[in-house]
Amino acid sequence: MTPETTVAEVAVRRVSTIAPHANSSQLMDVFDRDEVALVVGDDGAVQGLLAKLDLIELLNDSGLRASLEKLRS
Amino acid sequence: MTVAWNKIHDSVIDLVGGTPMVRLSRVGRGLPCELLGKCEFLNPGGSLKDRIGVRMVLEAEREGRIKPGDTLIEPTSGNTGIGLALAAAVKGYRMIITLPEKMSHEKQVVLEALGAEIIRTPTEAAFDSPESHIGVAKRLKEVIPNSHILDQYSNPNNPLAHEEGTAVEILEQCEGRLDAVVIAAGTGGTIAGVSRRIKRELPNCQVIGVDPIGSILAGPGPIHSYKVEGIGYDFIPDVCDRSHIDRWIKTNDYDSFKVARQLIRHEGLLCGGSSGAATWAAMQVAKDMKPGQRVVVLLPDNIRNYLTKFVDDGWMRRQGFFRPEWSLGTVADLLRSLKPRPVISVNLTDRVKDVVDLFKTHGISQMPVLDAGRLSGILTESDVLHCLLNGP
Repeated sequence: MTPETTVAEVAVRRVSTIAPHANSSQLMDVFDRDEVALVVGDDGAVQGLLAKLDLIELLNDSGLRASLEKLRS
Repeated sequence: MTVAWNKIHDSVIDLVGGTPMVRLSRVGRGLPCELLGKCEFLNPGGSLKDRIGVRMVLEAEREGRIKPGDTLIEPTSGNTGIGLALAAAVKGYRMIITLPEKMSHEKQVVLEALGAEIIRTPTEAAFDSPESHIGVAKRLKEVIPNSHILDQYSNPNNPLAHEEGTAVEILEQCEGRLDAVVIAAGTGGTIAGVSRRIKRELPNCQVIGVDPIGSILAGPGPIHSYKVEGIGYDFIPDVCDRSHIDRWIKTNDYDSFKVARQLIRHEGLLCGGSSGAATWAAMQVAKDMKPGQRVVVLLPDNIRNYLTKFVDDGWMRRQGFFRPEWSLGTVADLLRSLKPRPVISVNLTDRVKDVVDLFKTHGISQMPVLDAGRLSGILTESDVLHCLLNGP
Protein backbone atom coordinates (compact mmCIF):
# COMPACT_ATOMS: atom_id res chain seq x y z
CA MET A 1 0.00 0.00 0.00
CA THR A 2 1.35 3.42 -0.97
CA PRO A 3 0.49 6.82 0.54
CA GLU A 4 -1.70 7.38 -2.52
CA THR A 5 -3.79 4.19 -2.16
CA THR A 6 -7.47 5.16 -2.29
CA VAL A 7 -10.46 3.80 -0.44
CA ALA A 8 -11.70 2.29 -3.71
CA GLU A 9 -8.66 0.03 -3.74
CA VAL A 10 -9.45 -1.38 -0.32
CA ALA A 11 -12.22 -3.94 -0.14
CA VAL A 12 -15.32 -2.00 0.89
CA ARG A 13 -17.85 -4.10 2.75
CA ARG A 14 -21.48 -4.34 1.91
CA VAL A 15 -23.48 -2.71 4.66
CA SER A 16 -27.04 -3.20 5.80
CA THR A 17 -29.21 -0.13 5.59
CA ILE A 18 -32.43 0.71 7.32
CA ALA A 19 -35.00 3.47 6.79
CA PRO A 20 -35.58 6.05 9.55
CA HIS A 21 -39.25 5.08 9.72
CA ALA A 22 -38.47 1.35 10.27
CA ASN A 23 -39.41 0.00 13.68
CA SER A 24 -37.18 -1.55 16.30
CA SER A 25 -38.16 -5.08 15.38
CA GLN A 26 -36.98 -4.50 11.80
CA LEU A 27 -33.74 -3.14 13.22
CA MET A 28 -33.33 -6.32 15.26
CA ASP A 29 -33.75 -8.33 12.06
CA VAL A 30 -30.76 -6.40 10.64
CA PHE A 31 -28.78 -7.00 13.84
CA ASP A 32 -29.44 -10.73 13.48
CA ARG A 33 -27.23 -10.54 10.36
CA ASP A 34 -24.89 -7.57 10.88
CA GLU A 35 -23.14 -5.65 13.62
CA VAL A 36 -24.12 -2.20 12.32
CA ALA A 37 -26.91 -0.63 10.29
CA LEU A 38 -26.67 2.61 8.33
CA VAL A 39 -29.75 4.77 8.54
CA VAL A 40 -30.44 6.02 5.02
CA GLY A 41 -33.30 8.37 4.13
CA ASP A 42 -35.47 8.16 1.03
CA ASP A 43 -33.16 10.72 -0.62
CA GLY A 44 -30.19 8.37 -0.20
CA ALA A 45 -28.55 10.57 2.43
CA VAL A 46 -26.86 8.78 5.32
CA GLN A 47 -28.51 10.06 8.49
CA GLY A 48 -26.62 7.98 11.02
CA LEU A 49 -25.03 4.71 11.96
CA LEU A 50 -26.47 2.38 14.58
CA ALA A 51 -24.43 -0.38 16.19
CA LYS A 52 -25.64 -3.16 18.48
CA LEU A 53 -23.69 -1.46 21.26
CA ASP A 54 -25.76 1.73 20.80
CA LEU A 55 -28.90 -0.26 21.40
CA ILE A 56 -27.46 -1.96 24.47
CA GLU A 57 -26.38 1.40 25.94
CA LEU A 58 -29.76 2.90 25.17
CA LEU A 59 -31.60 0.06 26.86
CA ASN A 60 -29.37 0.39 29.92
CA ASP A 61 -29.69 4.18 30.06
CA SER A 62 -33.43 4.32 29.67
CA GLY A 63 -34.14 1.66 32.24
CA LEU A 64 -35.56 -0.63 29.59
CA ARG A 65 -33.10 -3.35 30.48
CA ALA A 66 -35.64 -4.94 32.77
CA SER A 67 -38.11 -5.07 29.92
CA LEU A 68 -35.55 -6.72 27.71
CA GLU A 69 -34.77 -9.33 30.33
CA LYS A 70 -38.45 -9.95 30.82
CA LEU A 71 -38.78 -10.33 27.09
CA ARG A 72 -35.90 -12.78 26.91
CA SER A 73 -37.21 -14.89 29.76
CA MET B 1 -48.75 -48.80 28.32
CA THR B 2 -45.54 -48.80 30.30
CA VAL B 3 -42.16 -48.63 28.63
CA ALA B 4 -39.58 -50.73 30.43
CA TRP B 5 -36.13 -49.15 30.10
CA ASN B 6 -34.25 -52.27 31.18
CA LYS B 7 -35.15 -54.58 28.30
CA ILE B 8 -34.85 -54.81 24.52
CA HIS B 9 -37.97 -53.83 22.58
CA ASP B 10 -39.20 -55.21 19.27
CA SER B 11 -39.87 -51.86 17.58
CA VAL B 12 -40.58 -48.18 18.14
CA ILE B 13 -44.24 -49.09 18.63
CA ASP B 14 -43.32 -50.52 22.03
CA LEU B 15 -41.66 -47.25 23.02
CA VAL B 16 -44.84 -45.17 22.93
CA GLY B 17 -46.25 -43.94 26.25
CA GLY B 18 -44.74 -44.32 29.69
CA THR B 19 -43.69 -40.67 29.66
CA PRO B 20 -42.06 -39.11 32.74
CA MET B 21 -43.56 -36.48 35.03
CA VAL B 22 -41.46 -33.55 36.21
CA ARG B 23 -41.92 -30.79 38.78
CA LEU B 24 -42.12 -27.35 37.11
CA SER B 25 -40.52 -25.59 40.04
CA ARG B 26 -38.97 -22.66 38.16
CA VAL B 27 -41.92 -21.69 35.99
CA GLY B 28 -44.18 -22.46 38.96
CA ARG B 29 -42.17 -20.36 41.44
CA GLY B 30 -44.46 -18.31 43.65
CA LEU B 31 -47.47 -20.54 43.12
CA PRO B 32 -49.07 -21.84 46.33
CA CYS B 33 -49.17 -25.48 45.14
CA GLU B 34 -47.10 -28.02 43.25
CA LEU B 35 -47.11 -27.80 39.44
CA LEU B 36 -46.23 -31.02 37.61
CA GLY B 37 -45.67 -31.51 33.89
CA LYS B 38 -46.35 -34.82 32.13
CA CYS B 39 -43.73 -34.93 29.38
CA GLU B 40 -45.76 -36.26 26.48
CA PHE B 41 -43.33 -34.53 24.13
CA LEU B 42 -40.85 -37.29 25.01
CA ASN B 43 -42.84 -39.88 23.07
CA PRO B 44 -40.74 -41.33 20.23
CA GLY B 45 -42.54 -39.33 17.51
CA GLY B 46 -42.43 -36.19 19.64
CA SER B 47 -46.02 -35.95 20.86
CA LEU B 48 -48.86 -37.57 22.79
CA LYS B 49 -50.46 -38.35 19.42
CA ASP B 50 -48.08 -41.29 19.09
CA ARG B 51 -50.36 -43.04 21.56
CA ILE B 52 -53.43 -42.78 19.36
CA GLY B 53 -51.57 -43.28 16.09
CA VAL B 54 -50.18 -46.60 17.24
CA ARG B 55 -53.37 -47.71 18.98
CA MET B 56 -55.62 -46.91 16.01
CA VAL B 57 -53.40 -48.96 13.68
CA LEU B 58 -53.02 -51.92 16.05
CA GLU B 59 -56.73 -52.07 16.86
CA ALA B 60 -57.79 -51.79 13.20
CA GLU B 61 -55.41 -54.66 12.40
CA ARG B 62 -56.72 -56.73 15.28
CA GLU B 63 -60.29 -56.19 14.08
CA GLY B 64 -59.23 -57.23 10.55
CA ARG B 65 -60.19 -53.86 9.02
CA ILE B 66 -56.73 -53.14 7.61
CA LYS B 67 -53.77 -55.20 6.47
CA PRO B 68 -50.16 -54.31 5.58
CA GLY B 69 -49.96 -52.94 2.06
CA ASP B 70 -53.21 -50.95 2.43
CA THR B 71 -53.26 -47.17 2.29
CA LEU B 72 -53.97 -45.12 5.40
CA ILE B 73 -55.22 -41.55 4.90
CA GLU B 74 -55.49 -39.14 7.79
CA PRO B 75 -56.47 -35.49 8.10
CA THR B 76 -54.32 -34.07 10.87
CA SER B 77 -52.58 -31.00 12.20
CA GLY B 78 -49.42 -33.09 11.95
CA ASN B 79 -48.69 -34.92 15.17
CA THR B 80 -51.28 -37.67 14.70
CA GLY B 81 -49.82 -38.08 11.25
CA ILE B 82 -46.38 -38.58 12.74
CA GLY B 83 -47.74 -41.17 15.22
CA LEU B 84 -49.56 -42.98 12.41
CA ALA B 85 -46.59 -42.71 10.06
CA LEU B 86 -44.34 -44.31 12.71
CA ALA B 87 -46.69 -47.26 12.95
CA ALA B 88 -47.21 -47.35 9.16
CA ALA B 89 -43.45 -47.35 8.56
CA VAL B 90 -42.90 -50.29 10.90
CA LYS B 91 -46.01 -52.21 9.81
CA GLY B 92 -45.75 -51.61 6.07
CA TYR B 93 -48.65 -49.31 5.14
CA ARG B 94 -48.75 -46.52 2.57
CA MET B 95 -49.51 -43.29 4.46
CA ILE B 96 -51.15 -40.16 3.05
CA ILE B 97 -51.54 -37.10 5.26
CA THR B 98 -53.76 -34.11 4.53
CA LEU B 99 -52.31 -31.18 6.42
CA PRO B 100 -53.60 -27.57 6.72
CA GLU B 101 -51.19 -24.94 5.32
CA LYS B 102 -50.74 -23.31 8.76
CA MET B 103 -48.94 -26.33 10.14
CA SER B 104 -45.18 -26.02 10.33
CA HIS B 105 -42.84 -27.08 7.54
CA GLU B 106 -40.92 -29.13 10.10
CA LYS B 107 -43.92 -31.45 10.54
CA GLN B 108 -44.04 -32.01 6.79
CA VAL B 109 -40.32 -32.81 6.68
CA VAL B 110 -40.64 -35.38 9.47
CA LEU B 111 -43.69 -36.96 7.85
CA GLU B 112 -41.93 -37.21 4.51
CA ALA B 113 -38.87 -38.72 6.19
CA LEU B 114 -41.20 -41.39 7.58
CA GLY B 115 -42.35 -42.11 4.05
CA ALA B 116 -45.72 -40.35 4.22
CA GLU B 117 -47.16 -38.45 1.24
CA ILE B 118 -48.37 -34.96 2.12
CA ILE B 119 -51.22 -32.93 0.68
CA ARG B 120 -51.48 -29.35 1.95
CA THR B 121 -54.96 -27.81 2.32
CA PRO B 122 -56.08 -24.20 2.99
CA THR B 123 -56.15 -23.37 6.71
CA GLU B 124 -59.20 -21.13 6.21
CA ALA B 125 -61.35 -23.91 4.73
CA ALA B 126 -64.23 -24.81 7.07
CA PHE B 127 -64.00 -28.38 8.38
CA ASP B 128 -67.04 -29.46 6.30
CA SER B 129 -65.88 -27.91 3.02
CA PRO B 130 -64.46 -30.20 0.29
CA GLU B 131 -61.18 -28.21 0.35
CA SER B 132 -60.50 -28.76 4.06
CA HIS B 133 -58.00 -31.36 5.23
CA ILE B 134 -60.96 -33.51 6.28
CA GLY B 135 -62.79 -33.01 2.96
CA VAL B 136 -59.72 -33.82 0.89
CA ALA B 137 -59.04 -36.99 2.92
CA LYS B 138 -62.61 -38.19 2.29
CA ARG B 139 -62.32 -37.57 -1.45
CA LEU B 140 -59.00 -39.46 -1.61
CA LYS B 141 -60.53 -42.44 0.17
CA GLU B 142 -63.16 -42.68 -2.56
CA VAL B 143 -60.59 -42.98 -5.35
CA ILE B 144 -57.74 -44.99 -3.77
CA PRO B 145 -58.37 -48.74 -3.54
CA ASN B 146 -57.91 -50.44 -0.14
CA SER B 147 -57.63 -47.10 1.59
CA HIS B 148 -58.88 -46.29 5.05
CA ILE B 149 -59.33 -43.23 7.20
CA LEU B 150 -58.73 -44.28 10.79
CA ASP B 151 -60.20 -40.89 11.71
CA GLN B 152 -58.91 -39.53 14.98
CA TYR B 153 -62.03 -37.32 15.18
CA SER B 154 -64.42 -40.24 15.68
CA ASN B 155 -62.25 -43.27 16.44
CA PRO B 156 -62.97 -44.49 20.01
CA ASN B 157 -59.36 -45.65 20.26
CA ASN B 158 -58.34 -41.99 20.43
CA PRO B 159 -59.87 -41.38 23.90
CA LEU B 160 -59.27 -45.00 24.92
CA ALA B 161 -55.51 -44.62 24.39
CA HIS B 162 -55.61 -41.92 27.06
CA GLU B 163 -58.20 -43.51 29.33
CA GLU B 164 -56.19 -46.75 29.50
CA GLY B 165 -52.76 -45.20 29.06
CA THR B 166 -52.09 -41.55 29.87
CA ALA B 167 -54.59 -41.28 32.75
CA VAL B 168 -53.41 -44.51 34.39
CA GLU B 169 -49.82 -43.28 34.22
CA ILE B 170 -50.79 -39.92 35.80
CA LEU B 171 -52.58 -41.67 38.66
CA GLU B 172 -49.60 -43.98 39.24
CA GLN B 173 -47.02 -41.21 39.06
CA CYS B 174 -48.98 -39.08 41.54
CA GLU B 175 -49.78 -42.13 43.69
CA GLY B 176 -53.40 -41.11 43.45
CA ARG B 177 -52.77 -37.68 44.95
CA LEU B 178 -53.68 -34.87 42.57
CA ASP B 179 -56.18 -32.04 42.70
CA ALA B 180 -56.38 -30.78 39.14
CA VAL B 181 -55.35 -31.90 35.69
CA VAL B 182 -55.05 -29.36 32.88
CA ILE B 183 -55.25 -30.52 29.27
CA ALA B 184 -55.24 -28.61 26.00
CA ALA B 185 -57.86 -29.95 23.62
CA GLY B 186 -57.37 -30.64 19.92
CA THR B 187 -59.63 -33.43 18.78
CA GLY B 188 -60.60 -33.59 22.45
CA GLY B 189 -59.70 -37.28 22.59
CA THR B 190 -56.99 -36.76 25.20
CA ILE B 191 -59.15 -34.80 27.60
CA ALA B 192 -62.15 -37.08 27.05
CA GLY B 193 -60.15 -40.20 27.86
CA VAL B 194 -58.12 -38.78 30.72
CA SER B 195 -61.14 -37.09 32.34
CA ARG B 196 -63.22 -40.29 32.22
CA ARG B 197 -60.57 -42.26 34.08
CA ILE B 198 -59.57 -39.53 36.52
CA LYS B 199 -63.15 -38.77 37.51
CA ARG B 200 -63.81 -42.47 38.04
CA GLU B 201 -60.81 -42.82 40.36
CA LEU B 202 -60.74 -39.34 41.90
CA PRO B 203 -64.15 -37.66 41.62
CA ASN B 204 -62.92 -34.53 43.42
CA CYS B 205 -60.02 -33.92 41.08
CA GLN B 206 -60.78 -30.97 38.79
CA VAL B 207 -60.40 -31.46 35.05
CA ILE B 208 -59.70 -28.23 33.18
CA GLY B 209 -59.83 -27.95 29.41
CA VAL B 210 -57.67 -25.46 27.55
CA ASP B 211 -58.99 -23.94 24.35
CA PRO B 212 -57.44 -21.13 22.28
CA ILE B 213 -59.41 -17.96 21.57
CA GLY B 214 -60.80 -18.45 18.06
CA SER B 215 -61.81 -22.09 18.69
CA ILE B 216 -65.23 -23.29 19.90
CA LEU B 217 -64.36 -26.42 21.87
CA ALA B 218 -65.00 -24.56 25.13
CA GLY B 219 -68.33 -23.26 23.84
CA PRO B 220 -69.79 -21.05 21.10
CA GLY B 221 -67.83 -17.94 20.16
CA PRO B 222 -66.22 -16.16 17.24
CA ILE B 223 -64.15 -18.49 15.05
CA HIS B 224 -60.87 -17.15 13.78
CA SER B 225 -57.34 -18.36 13.16
CA TYR B 226 -54.52 -18.32 15.71
CA LYS B 227 -50.87 -19.29 15.68
CA VAL B 228 -50.60 -22.04 18.29
CA GLU B 229 -50.77 -25.37 16.47
CA GLY B 230 -52.60 -28.58 17.29
CA ILE B 231 -55.20 -27.24 19.72
CA GLY B 232 -58.75 -25.98 19.20
CA TYR B 233 -61.20 -26.54 16.35
CA ASP B 234 -64.06 -24.87 14.55
CA PHE B 235 -66.30 -27.90 15.25
CA ILE B 236 -66.78 -30.39 18.08
CA PRO B 237 -65.26 -33.74 17.06
CA ASP B 238 -67.23 -36.86 18.00
CA VAL B 239 -64.47 -38.01 20.35
CA CYS B 240 -64.60 -34.74 22.30
CA ASP B 241 -66.73 -35.92 25.20
CA ARG B 242 -66.88 -32.82 27.38
CA SER B 243 -69.11 -34.29 30.10
CA HIS B 244 -66.33 -34.83 32.65
CA ILE B 245 -64.67 -31.44 32.19
CA ASP B 246 -65.25 -29.10 35.12
CA ARG B 247 -64.30 -25.90 33.33
CA TRP B 248 -62.46 -24.40 30.41
CA ILE B 249 -59.77 -21.75 30.21
CA LYS B 250 -59.31 -19.74 27.02
CA THR B 251 -55.75 -18.93 25.95
CA ASN B 252 -54.12 -16.52 23.51
CA ASP B 253 -51.06 -16.87 21.27
CA TYR B 254 -48.97 -14.35 23.20
CA ASP B 255 -49.22 -16.01 26.64
CA SER B 256 -48.90 -19.46 25.09
CA PHE B 257 -45.66 -18.70 23.27
CA LYS B 258 -44.26 -16.73 26.19
CA VAL B 259 -44.77 -19.60 28.64
CA ALA B 260 -43.57 -22.19 26.10
CA ARG B 261 -40.33 -20.20 25.82
CA GLN B 262 -40.12 -20.09 29.63
CA LEU B 263 -40.54 -23.88 29.81
CA ILE B 264 -37.66 -24.21 27.37
CA ARG B 265 -35.46 -21.51 28.88
CA HIS B 266 -35.99 -22.17 32.59
CA GLU B 267 -37.03 -25.81 32.82
CA GLY B 268 -34.97 -27.12 29.91
CA LEU B 269 -38.10 -28.81 28.55
CA LEU B 270 -37.93 -28.72 24.77
CA CYS B 271 -41.65 -28.44 24.15
CA GLY B 272 -44.03 -26.78 21.68
CA GLY B 273 -46.51 -23.89 21.80
CA SER B 274 -49.48 -25.91 23.04
CA SER B 275 -47.42 -26.84 26.11
CA GLY B 276 -47.16 -23.12 26.78
CA ALA B 277 -50.92 -22.67 26.42
CA ALA B 278 -51.64 -25.56 28.78
CA THR B 279 -49.03 -24.45 31.31
CA TRP B 280 -50.26 -20.85 31.28
CA ALA B 281 -53.76 -22.17 32.02
CA ALA B 282 -52.39 -24.50 34.71
CA MET B 283 -50.71 -21.51 36.37
CA GLN B 284 -54.08 -19.72 36.53
CA VAL B 285 -55.59 -22.84 38.13
CA ALA B 286 -52.67 -23.20 40.55
CA LYS B 287 -53.05 -19.61 41.79
CA ASP B 288 -56.33 -20.61 43.45
CA MET B 289 -54.97 -23.78 45.02
CA LYS B 290 -53.75 -24.34 48.58
CA PRO B 291 -50.30 -25.41 49.75
CA GLY B 292 -49.87 -29.16 49.49
CA GLN B 293 -52.18 -29.47 46.50
CA ARG B 294 -51.09 -30.66 43.08
CA VAL B 295 -51.82 -29.54 39.54
CA VAL B 296 -50.77 -31.75 36.62
CA VAL B 297 -50.44 -30.32 33.12
CA LEU B 298 -49.93 -32.31 29.94
CA LEU B 299 -47.09 -31.05 27.72
CA PRO B 300 -48.27 -32.36 24.34
CA ASP B 301 -45.49 -31.96 21.79
CA ASN B 302 -41.86 -31.08 21.32
CA ILE B 303 -39.79 -28.17 20.04
CA ARG B 304 -38.75 -29.86 16.76
CA ASN B 305 -41.90 -28.77 14.92
CA TYR B 306 -41.39 -25.08 15.71
CA LEU B 307 -37.72 -24.31 15.14
CA THR B 308 -38.63 -21.71 12.51
CA LYS B 309 -41.66 -20.49 14.46
CA PHE B 310 -42.09 -19.37 18.07
CA VAL B 311 -38.68 -20.71 19.10
CA ASP B 312 -37.05 -18.26 16.66
CA ASP B 313 -36.64 -14.66 17.95
CA GLY B 314 -36.98 -13.25 14.43
CA TRP B 315 -40.32 -15.01 13.90
CA MET B 316 -41.59 -13.76 17.25
CA ARG B 317 -40.66 -10.19 16.35
CA ARG B 318 -42.16 -10.40 12.86
CA GLN B 319 -45.40 -11.70 14.37
CA GLY B 320 -45.39 -8.76 16.80
CA PHE B 321 -45.19 -10.90 19.94
CA PHE B 322 -42.27 -8.89 21.37
CA ARG B 323 -43.72 -5.42 20.85
CA PRO B 324 -45.99 -4.97 23.86
CA GLU B 325 -43.00 -5.12 26.19
CA TRP B 326 -40.48 -3.42 24.01
CA SER B 327 -41.55 -0.27 22.25
CA LEU B 328 -38.43 1.69 21.41
CA GLY B 329 -40.17 3.44 18.55
CA THR B 330 -38.75 3.94 15.08
CA VAL B 331 -35.14 3.96 13.99
CA ALA B 332 -35.33 7.77 13.81
CA ASP B 333 -36.52 7.82 17.44
CA LEU B 334 -33.55 5.67 18.38
CA LEU B 335 -31.10 7.99 16.63
CA ARG B 336 -32.60 10.98 18.45
CA SER B 337 -32.24 9.15 21.78
CA LEU B 338 -28.51 8.72 21.30
CA LYS B 339 -25.94 11.43 21.97
CA PRO B 340 -25.78 13.67 18.87
CA ARG B 341 -22.85 12.71 16.67
CA PRO B 342 -22.07 13.72 13.11
CA VAL B 343 -21.85 11.02 10.46
CA ILE B 344 -18.23 10.96 9.31
CA SER B 345 -18.05 9.47 5.85
CA VAL B 346 -15.35 9.05 3.21
CA ASN B 347 -15.39 8.95 -0.57
CA LEU B 348 -14.13 6.14 -2.76
CA THR B 349 -11.52 8.56 -4.11
CA ASP B 350 -10.15 9.54 -0.67
CA ARG B 351 -6.72 8.33 0.34
CA VAL B 352 -6.56 5.54 2.90
CA LYS B 353 -3.84 7.49 4.70
CA ASP B 354 -6.36 10.32 5.36
CA VAL B 355 -9.00 7.81 6.44
CA VAL B 356 -6.63 6.49 9.13
CA ASP B 357 -6.28 10.07 10.40
CA LEU B 358 -10.08 10.38 10.55
CA PHE B 359 -10.31 7.13 12.58
CA LYS B 360 -7.78 8.58 15.03
CA THR B 361 -9.25 12.09 15.22
CA HIS B 362 -12.82 11.01 15.83
CA GLY B 363 -12.15 7.84 17.83
CA ILE B 364 -14.28 5.74 15.51
CA SER B 365 -13.69 2.35 13.94
CA GLN B 366 -15.90 2.36 10.86
CA MET B 367 -17.17 4.84 8.30
CA PRO B 368 -19.73 4.82 5.50
CA VAL B 369 -18.15 5.04 2.05
CA LEU B 370 -19.83 7.27 -0.54
CA ASP B 371 -19.56 7.15 -4.30
CA ALA B 372 -20.65 10.46 -5.84
CA GLY B 373 -22.84 11.11 -2.81
CA ARG B 374 -24.49 7.65 -2.85
CA LEU B 375 -23.78 4.97 -0.28
CA SER B 376 -21.28 2.42 -1.53
CA GLY B 377 -20.53 0.41 1.60
CA ILE B 378 -18.62 0.62 4.84
CA LEU B 379 -14.92 0.73 5.67
CA THR B 380 -13.69 -0.57 9.01
CA GLU B 381 -10.37 -0.44 10.87
CA SER B 382 -10.05 -4.17 10.24
CA ASP B 383 -10.38 -3.64 6.49
CA VAL B 384 -7.54 -1.07 6.54
CA LEU B 385 -5.39 -3.31 8.70
CA HIS B 386 -6.02 -6.23 6.37
CA CYS B 387 -5.03 -4.04 3.41
CA LEU B 388 -1.82 -2.93 5.14
CA LEU B 389 -0.81 -6.48 5.93
CA ASN B 390 -1.89 -8.25 2.75
CA GLY B 391 -2.11 -5.49 0.15
CA PRO B 392 -5.27 -4.25 -1.57
